[in-house]
Amino acid sequence: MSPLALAWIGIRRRALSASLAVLALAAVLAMTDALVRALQQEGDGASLAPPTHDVLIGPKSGGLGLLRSAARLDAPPVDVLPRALAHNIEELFDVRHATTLHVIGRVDRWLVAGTDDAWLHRPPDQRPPRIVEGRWLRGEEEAVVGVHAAAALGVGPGDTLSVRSAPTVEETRAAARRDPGAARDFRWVPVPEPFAPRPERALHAQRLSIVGIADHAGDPGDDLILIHHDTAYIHHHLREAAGVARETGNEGAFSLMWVTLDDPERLPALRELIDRRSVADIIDLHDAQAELAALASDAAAGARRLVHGGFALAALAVLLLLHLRYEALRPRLVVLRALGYGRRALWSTLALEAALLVLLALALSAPLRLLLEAAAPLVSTPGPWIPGPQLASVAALALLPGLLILALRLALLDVRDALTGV
Amino acid sequence: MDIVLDGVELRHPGMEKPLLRVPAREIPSGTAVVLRGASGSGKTTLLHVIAGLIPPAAGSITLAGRALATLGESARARLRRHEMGIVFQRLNVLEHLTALENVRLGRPGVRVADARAALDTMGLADLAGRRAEVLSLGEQQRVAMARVLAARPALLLADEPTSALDDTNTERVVAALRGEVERGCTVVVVTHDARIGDDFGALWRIEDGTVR
Repeated sequence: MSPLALAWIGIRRRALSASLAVLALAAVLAMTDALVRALQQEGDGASLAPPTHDVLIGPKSGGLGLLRSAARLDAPPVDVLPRALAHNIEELFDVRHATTLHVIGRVDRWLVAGTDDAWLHRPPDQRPPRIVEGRWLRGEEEAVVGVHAAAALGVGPGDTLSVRSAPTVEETRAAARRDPGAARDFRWVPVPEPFAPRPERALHAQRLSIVGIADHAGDPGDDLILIHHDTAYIHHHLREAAGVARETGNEGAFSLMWVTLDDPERLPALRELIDRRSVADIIDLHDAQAELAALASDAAAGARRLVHGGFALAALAVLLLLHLRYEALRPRLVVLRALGYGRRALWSTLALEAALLVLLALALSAPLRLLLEAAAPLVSTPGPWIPGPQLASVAALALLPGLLILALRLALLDVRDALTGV
Repeated sequence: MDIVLDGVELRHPGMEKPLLRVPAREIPSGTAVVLRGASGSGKTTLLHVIAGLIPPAAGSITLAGRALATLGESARARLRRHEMGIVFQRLNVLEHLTALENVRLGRPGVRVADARAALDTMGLADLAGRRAEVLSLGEQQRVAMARVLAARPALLLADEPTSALDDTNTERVVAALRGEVERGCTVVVVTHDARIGDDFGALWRIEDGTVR
């Protein structure tokens, strides 16, 4: 019988222990691969283009929280600032460009945010969005949808979207706990000026017409549903009147503001203006990027150590597997050796058995990794179902020490000692 | 395969006195030898020495004109694999393999039909597909015998091949060994078993540490 046939029989006839070994090894490979991919993704993130604006202004949220909100736009600030502050900044400072977003809620998982023409007319070096279908916002009952959100929702120009502004039960209860007098029945909230003539807007949901699709070239803006600032403000005001949102006055509100100054020397003055306000926060995006890069570098170093640990663990698992297998098979190896099987043939049999187990583990590791990513996401983009060459290399490297030890043990196998009692 | 033993001495490690001395002896090709002696007298060790598994403390062994001492370990392993058949006292089979698979291990290229025929000779045709781990010691011993028969070796070394067998199966084994001698195979059997008669072949007795 060939070494391959003997190896396969060895696995098949020891199905339980082989399955457990395969499962353990697949888990180690899956975790290592997830870490490697997370590390790569971290590296990709760290190599992003430099920030296109100088500062980011938003409600106080501990600095990093605000930065994360702006960078990913998946968890916006819960608070807002009065839009009057944005107007003041634009008037008082030499602003080359400023743009604001006012996040008011979601349609499915896609954020709905009020903005204005400044969002569209960012200078070329600030990655302006491109209208790939339809046109930009003109009216208050219109929406422009980012390409990702549009694809996911299956909508395009001419379709409509329903935007809800009604507070949730939890929000109302929380507001009532904070200030029992402030929370009011949402249905009786009056429509504010200048929208009072159109009381129908005080509905729980507002239907908006989609007029365009905006491509932000992979920017988080592609996940947004953009509406007119005034429309966003109506929703905010209704929530404000219901006692679940901060009062911002009649000029509206904003969640995030990106500013590029003509004269960077004015930055300290702008910082001072914002710092005087207890509710607002300002982040120097250039400094923040440097800090984030340093943080990412530390994290990457830690992750790299984990990956190396994963490699070592995989190698150790294979080593242990082969060691136990060798111990279990030793009497049989002696018989085979006594019958005239060469060391190379015996090594081939055991090596093939180990390689088959590793191959099975490799095949199992891909679906296992997808489960792992679903349970504890390390990366935002799931890996493929088929293990890639990277994972195959890890598996091969993990196999190597085990095979070397096996060769050593077989070289030291003394048939004379082993034959005692044979 | 003819065997020539010349002044062979076997010695336990660290012991001055030899365990066994074999004066110049020859076993012509196609003949049989029955080796008898008390327990611990060195019968099994002598068999292992002839198989090239253990080197003698002194003297030389020549198999078909090839001095074992001049062969490297790999060459001796090849010799065992291609020209010898060995039945050990114990640990004869790989437990996770079936009887048929064990028989096919005897030599490269043993055909399934030959392996089945050998098992049939040993009265094990019905157990061909059964794993060795569930076979009795006697059945395992007969599987080992079948493995040797299927390999059709030039030299057959059997160490107590009937120790776990009843009379019927002992007769089977003895008949098979006689058949091998008739085929031209050289057979050396180590045994205490009186059922393997002294007339089976040349009788070597170990007395006072010497083969007589």
